[in-house]
Order: sequence, then structure tokens, then C-alpha cells
Amino acid sequence: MSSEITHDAAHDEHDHHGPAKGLMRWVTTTNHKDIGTLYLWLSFIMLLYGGSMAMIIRLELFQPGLQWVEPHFFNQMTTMHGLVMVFGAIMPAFVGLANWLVPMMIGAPDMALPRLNNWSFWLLPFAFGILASTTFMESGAPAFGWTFYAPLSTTYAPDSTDFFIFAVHLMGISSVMGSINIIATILNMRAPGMTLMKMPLFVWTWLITAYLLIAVMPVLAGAVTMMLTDRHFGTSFFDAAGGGDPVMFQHIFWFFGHPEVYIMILPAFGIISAIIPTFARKPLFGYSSMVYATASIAILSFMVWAHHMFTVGMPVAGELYFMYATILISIPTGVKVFNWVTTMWKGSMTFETPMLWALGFIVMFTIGGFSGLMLGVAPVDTQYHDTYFVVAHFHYVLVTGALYSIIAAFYYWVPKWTGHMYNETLGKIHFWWSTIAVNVLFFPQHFLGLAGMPRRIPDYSLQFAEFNMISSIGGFAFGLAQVFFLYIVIKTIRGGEKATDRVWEGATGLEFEQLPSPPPYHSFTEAPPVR
Amino acid sequence: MIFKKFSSPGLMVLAGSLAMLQTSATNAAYELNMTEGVTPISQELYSLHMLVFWICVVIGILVFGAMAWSILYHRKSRGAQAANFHESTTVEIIWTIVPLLILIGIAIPATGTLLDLEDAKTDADITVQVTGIQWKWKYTYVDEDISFVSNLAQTSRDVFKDPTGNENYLLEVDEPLVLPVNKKVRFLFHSNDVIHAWWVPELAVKQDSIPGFINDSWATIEEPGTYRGQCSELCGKDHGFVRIGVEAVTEPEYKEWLASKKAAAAAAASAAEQEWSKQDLLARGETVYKANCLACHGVTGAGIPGAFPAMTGSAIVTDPDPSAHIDVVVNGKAGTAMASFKGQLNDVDIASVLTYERNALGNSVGTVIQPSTIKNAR
Amino acid sequence: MVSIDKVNTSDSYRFVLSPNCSISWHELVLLYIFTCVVALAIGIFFTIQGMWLVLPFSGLEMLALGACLYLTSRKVYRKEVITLDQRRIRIEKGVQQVSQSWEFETPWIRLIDEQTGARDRQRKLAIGSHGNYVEVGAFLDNSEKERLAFQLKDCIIRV
Repeated sequence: MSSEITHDAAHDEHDHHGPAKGLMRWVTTTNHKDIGTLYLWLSFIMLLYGGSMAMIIRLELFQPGLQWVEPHFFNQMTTMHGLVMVFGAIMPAFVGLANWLVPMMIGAPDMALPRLNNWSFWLLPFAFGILASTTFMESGAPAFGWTFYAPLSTTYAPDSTDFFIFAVHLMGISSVMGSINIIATILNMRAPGMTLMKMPLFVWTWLITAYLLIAVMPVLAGAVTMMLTDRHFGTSFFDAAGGGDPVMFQHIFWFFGHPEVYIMILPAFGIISAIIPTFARKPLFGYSSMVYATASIAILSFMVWAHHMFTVGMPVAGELYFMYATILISIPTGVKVFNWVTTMWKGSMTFETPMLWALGFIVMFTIGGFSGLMLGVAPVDTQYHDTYFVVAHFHYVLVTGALYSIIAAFYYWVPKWTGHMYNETLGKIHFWWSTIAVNVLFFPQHFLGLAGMPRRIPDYSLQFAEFNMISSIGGFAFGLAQVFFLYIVIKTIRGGEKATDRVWEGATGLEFEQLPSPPPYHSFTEAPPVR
Repeated sequence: MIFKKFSSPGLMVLAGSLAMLQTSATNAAYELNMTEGVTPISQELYSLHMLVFWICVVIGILVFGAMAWSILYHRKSRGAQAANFHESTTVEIIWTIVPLLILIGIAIPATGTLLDLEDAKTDADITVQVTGIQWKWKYTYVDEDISFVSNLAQTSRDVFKDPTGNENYLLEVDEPLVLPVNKKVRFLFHSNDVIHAWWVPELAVKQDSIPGFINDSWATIEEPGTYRGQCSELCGKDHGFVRIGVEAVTEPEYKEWLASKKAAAAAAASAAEQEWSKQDLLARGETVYKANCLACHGVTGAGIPGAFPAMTGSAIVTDPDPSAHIDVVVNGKAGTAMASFKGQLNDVDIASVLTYERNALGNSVGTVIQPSTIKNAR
Repeated sequence: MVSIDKVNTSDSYRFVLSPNCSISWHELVLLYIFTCVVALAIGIFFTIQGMWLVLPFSGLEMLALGACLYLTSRKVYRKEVITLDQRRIRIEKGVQQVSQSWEFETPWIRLIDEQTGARDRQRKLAIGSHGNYVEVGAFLDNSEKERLAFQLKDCIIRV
């Protein structure tokens, strides 16, 4: 009988069956859960890849002298480590989490543009394949730092730079498509009753993050394209000899780069705002102020870029403005931390693994925030700029900030995704091992920077030997801890104690209250009731 | 309890005890903080740094204290019942306003310090132009007609593989910048190639040297001594070895040094007039090559394929007619990393390094290039 | 919002079906214009600084964003209107204006309500007669379809 039915031209494209079998399932999938899984695995592989480069860096810096690698190779390692971790590990992990969680949190059956979603993921393995291949080229990989300042990245760059430019373009396209998809999903596909101010904070922070991405990605694309034309087509955007302006490159880069920094931390705020209330068994304090704080951080992020450039010789008025604007960011960021602490206050707390990672996030991210405030004070930045103090600062916000939130999110939602509880003992070991190691790794770098050690150097004079050795030991331990994490991840996926639908006693949100664990391949075939 | 491990004093202890386990102990100075330095500005920066640091410590104690308190006392295992408050506009306003006031408290002294820091133009006694070059510095005393290039000392280059026991490893330079104490020195920064940054912590001077731009900064050194620093903006392969040495001396010593420097320049000029033997040129050429060319073109002249061309068997180097070779060294090659050396090396140096490149590194062209040829080529 | 409007005017009934949509067309357009203004302002800012290659990328991206929002909107601003009286039943489908329509005679009408898909138990509703059927409310979820089927049957009996 069904063959007689006139087919609706605009009929929903998804197949209404379970996943296909075999490898092609992953290549052709348009399911938000599958694509989220792909993103998360890519990000884990990139974490280990970027991490292994960090191990080479820490090995060379283990003691003074040039024992292991040549300076040129060392510079390739710092460059690739930065690029891979920023664009390969942190960003795809957040996009993966968004894919998994946003539709479930707003009560949508899938993302708004499922096929675009597939494409935006599958660009990434190619982008990173191209980027990684440069290491094996005759000239070696790009060696000008992840900030690729001209003219080091134009006139003075190795041949492989063109591949780097192409790879960055691909990553940019992927991010833009991912963001468009997230924006369309959140705007159009919320379940009836899910008003904007009822959305979980993770959805809010991702909506704002997606807008930031849309706003700054053309700037990055323009910057690398101008590098390309400077290298090959005779333009001189950044070449002083041809009338160009190398400082302008830095303005462009950081106009992209500073919002990029918040792109890597705003979703983390959303994750922490989900985990803390669950384990404090108390609603999030100041939900609306959290939303406004996120929005103000996003707006401010466009106005502070030149605080990365206090030593390029800006006019005094410019330096004053950027100093004031920069230290102002600590207010909305502070509001967030105060809100989290107040959420815990008079709660009924338990300390399962996700909570431990979230607490670790708050403490160490705040330490990173303090050093950020210090760096924002323009005159003193004369002494901090481009030293290990800066290295310590951004690793505190990116490793113990962004990465910690991602790991917290994994432990928090993996029982929901797989239906299996992870092993609590192993999770706790993972946390304490990582946390001790990461502080041994990065805390001494504050001292190194203050004592005068610049960043991106393959070798140092003897007065820095002790702290570098301590830092390297911490580095190796932290690296090993993440291999241990890989074991936990695989073990959890393959089996484990059955998780309840609610998973956590204090969990709230549609994904915990309205869906079983694991959720069906197509969630919400009926609109869920929104309280 | 356990969370105390996070806080900085706890970590310092942890880090310190770990450090004691290892035995190298050549320079067992655990430098923890920023130098107070030897200029009025560096001391101002130090106190501003400490002010912000202590503000952060106090806020940290309050926030982490509240957190630790609720972790200890508001835990389910102690039977804590969750309250249900989740909003308070008053509280939100308070913790927006109070930080704002603290920030204003930081911004006021910071503004004053920044204005002092940027005040390079007024009343300078001496002006030194600092030119960043991959991978060395060139200093030009603007009023004195003195100019020289400063490299990392050869003693450090000899022990890259194992610097143990070499106390001055990566600290010494071959020719330090000599400056008198208690004079306002204005620095002008410029670059010949990529962006560098000249940083001497004790002088609290860190300024980028950028091609096509001239930046300035200043310092009044109050104590004689040797102050060391290094390039702090990634400038390519040997970024880690672009060292800075500043020798601060008394006024009479400075005058003496100026005179000796001028005499040496005159002697070098007359040396360029002479005919040099091939042996002398080769010997000197090797030294010049090591200091100026080796970084890119390699110990054996093999270069780095794809990034820096090889010297061995190069068409330009092995061409019996040396004019192209002279041209590329004297004037550099536009659009590549090859710099112009006419401002960095004197005639004798260029002649000897050319002779060396043509007769060593696997090449044997045989030609000897005299300093007079270079003088004409300029 | 899934809406099944039943308009009862002198023995004729009208059902308006539309998929869930959480933002109005008006708001969406405003938001798009706002995004364009921000993105293009950044592009123009850099063009003024001489770095004109940012602007083409901003433009391309805004085109892509516009296209994607338009495509998703077409999906969610669809409408299906079913009008029925004693003699005729009329089904109209389209976005903003009617792009397809069918008419059947009410006395011969049949409502097909079937379950397809072993796992997902997707319901399918179709109206028609004489071997000619039109699927209705494909974008509705199962419980809404059930309600729609019930009400349609009810009306057909009444007229």
C-alpha cells in the first residue's frame, strides 16, 4: 500500500533505521552522535600526536645543551605542537561535544544540516594529514611558531609553508561550516517550550562561540591568503621592503587569535556549569548572570587583541586602551568563578571523577586567570612578554582549563553515551596523576619566565637547569597519564557497569531526564516536555 | 585537605623537594621571582609586579578558601543538605563592583609606570641604534661613529653537546655593548630581516626590532656590572642563541673604551689596504664563516635542503668568476633569508670568508679574493 | 511549534500543519543582518588598513551562512493545509505560498495510518482515494500524527 503514496518532495532525508554496518557507516554518516564520536576520536588522536611533540620539546629542554634535536627541528616541534593542539585537539573536541550534546539538550532529533555536518568533519583528517606531512618534507615543517609572524613566515619561511596555508584554509572552512550548523540548530530546532533563557549553559556558550568563530574565521583566511600572495604573487602586504607592514600581520593575527582563545574556553565554561550543580545537588547560581558574563567576554574579546603586542612599539594611548580593556575581562570571568563557588556553597557535594576534574578546572583555571591579569598590566608585560611566564599562563588556561573541562565532560556524559559506567577508581587515579603531574610541569615555568627564560628556545643557560628538569619530569608523567586515559576510554566503550538513565543522582537536563542510556540512534522522535 | 596541593606555596615545596633529588647543582640558585634590576624603571616594574601579585594572592585565598570550606563542610558524606538558593542580584552587583574598584587600583599606578616607560625621547645622553640580524645584534653609537656586531661567544658554540661545568654557557658574547652608568641611554631598534626583540631583564628593556620600523626605549643604569639578556621574539633557527651582553662602566672607563674602539677601527681599515696571503685569508675565513654563515649553510656547507641552499658545489660559489659570489654576500639576495653583509663585516672579513668558501667546504676553485676587491665592489 | 489548527466554519474544517520551529522568520532575518553587519564591518575595517583580502572571505562566509539558514528555514517554514467539507477535501503544501495541491472527493476518501520502520516505529499518514494517496504531516512526530489521524477521522465522519 505504501508504494501508492505520493512521495513528498521535501521529505526528511534521514534513514529511519539504525546505523549502517562497517566502515562506510562512519564515512557516510549524517547522524549527530556518529559525527560527534568521530570528532572526539580525531581530537584524541591529535592530543596524543601534539603531546608526543611536547615530549620531544621537554626532552630537549631536560638539560642544558643540544643533545637530542637540532634547533631547526625544535622550532618545527613548537610550531606543530601549538597548531595541532589548538586546531586539532581542543577545537574538534568541543565541536564533537556540541554534536553529541546540543541536539539532545535542546530536544532536537539531529543537527539542522546533517550532510554539511558530515562534510565539515571529513575535511579535518585531510587538513591534518597535509599539515603532518610537512614534517617529512625536505625543508621540514613550518618553524615559525603557531602565531606565524611575518616576515619569518613569508620571506624567510621553508617551502612547506604553502601546505600549511592550505591546511589552515581547510580547518577554517570546517570550523565555519560547523559553526553555521550549530547556529542553525540552536536557533531553529529547539523543542517547544525550550526558550533561549531555558537552554543549558553549554548550549548558550556554544551559540556565542559559534558566532565568534563566524566573525573571526574570515580574518584568519585572509591572513594566510595574504601570506600566500606575498610568497608567490609579488604582493607586499607584510613585506617592509615592498612598502608593507609586518606589524599589521600581528594585528590581523591577534584580531583572529584573541577571540580564538575564548573560542577554546567558553564551551568549557558551559561544561563546568553543567557539572558543578549536578554534584552539588543544587541549581546553578546566577544562571542569567552567567549568560550575560559569557556574552560580555565574547564582546570584549574583539577589543583587546593588541595586548599580545605590548612590545611592538604602539603609541602610548593605544597601550593604555588595550591595558584597560584587557584587565576589564577579569570582571565577567571573575563573576563566573564566584558563581561556581557559590553554587557549591551549602550544597550536598559528592566527588565523583567528573566533579574532581571540574574542581581542578576551577582552581587551576583561576591560577591561569591571575597570571592573565598580571600579563594584562602593560608596563610589567615588558618583563613577562614572550617568556615562560606566558607559556605557564596559557598552559594553565588551555591544559588545566580547556583540556580539563573536556576530560570532565567525557567522564560526565560517557555513561549517557555508551550506557556503561567508567571505572571510578581508574578515573580518580587518572585525575590525581594528571593533576600532580601538570602542576609539576607548568608551575615551575612561572619561575623560569620571571627569572628571564624566553619561550621557544631549544637551549638555555645553566641557571635555568633545575626548574627545566623538574618541568620535564612533570611533562613525561602528564603525557603518560593521557595514555592511561586512552585505556580508560577504550575500556569504558567496550563494557562496564550498566548506567542508569539518570546516570547521576543530581543530573538535570533533557539528555538525562528524557532519554535512556545509551540514547537511541535517533533521539526525540517525539518532542520532549520542557519544564 | 587534598586541595591544598593546588595552591602555590604547596607546589613550591613540592617542586623544591623534587629538585633536591637531582644532583647537578652547578648553579643551585632557585630563582623564583623577577629581578629588581638596576634602573629606576626596572624597580618601578618590580613593585608593580609585586602589587598585582599580592592582590592575586589575597583574592586567591578568599576564593579558594570559600571553595575549600564548602568542599570540607558541605559534602554529602557529612550529611549536608543542599540549599536551594540560586539567584541574588545584590550579590552579583557586589562582585562586579568590588573587582572593578580593585582594577582601578591597579590601573592607576600602571598608567604612571607606563608613561615613564615610554618616555624615551626626552633628554637622552647617549643614543645607541640596535639592529637585529639573524642571529646577532649590531650596535651603532649614533654620535660616536662606532659600530660593531655582537655574536654569541665561540666558547659556548664549542660545547653545545655537553655544556656541563661551563658556567658561562650561552651567557657570554664576543663583543658586549658598553654603556656608562647614570646616563640616560636611548635605544633605537631596527631589524634587517625578521622581527627580533632585545631584552635585558635588569634594564627592563624589551622592545621588538622590526624591519621597516624604528622603535625606541630607554634605560639609566645605576650600578656598574655585566647584564645579560637575549632575543625574546622567535627569529628563526638560531633564535635561542641571539645573546645580549651589556657592560655598564663608569664614565672614565667608558671614554677609554670609546678611544680604544676607534683605534681598532682605524687599524682594521689599514689592514684592508694590504695584500693578504691565501693561508691568512683561509684561517680568518673559517672564523668568520663559523660566526656568520654556519647557522644556515651548515658546518660542512650542506645547508638545509628546501630551507637554506648548500655551499658545497653551489653554482655561484664554484663559478671561477667571483663577481656573483661577491654580490650575493655584499648585497644579499632580496626575497630570501640571505642578508646583506656589507654593514656587518669589513672588507677583510668578507674577502677571507669568500676565499674560505671557495677553497674549503668541499670546494676547490683556487681563487683568492683580496680585501681591495671587496672595497671596490661596495 | 507543531500546530494543528482546526477552523470550523459552516461545516468545513481546516487543519494547518507545520513543523516545529523555534525562531520566527522575522527574527532570523534580523539576526542574519546583524551577523552580516559585524562580519562585513570587520572586513571593511581591514580593507581600510590595506589588508583587503579579508573582505572577500567575509562576503563568502556570509553567503554560506545565508544559504544554510535559508535551506533550514525552507524545511521548518513548510506548511500543509487540509481543508475539507461535505463534497471535497483539499490538500495544499508549500513554503509561504502554495506550491502543490490535490483534491479528492470526500465520500471516497480513505485515511491510511501505517507503521513503518522496524526500529523506529515511524508512523505514516496519507489521504486519498482510488489508489492515489498524498502523505500528510511527514514532519510531525508520532504522537502528533496520532492526534491528527484521530481528529481527521472525526471530521470525515461528521461531514
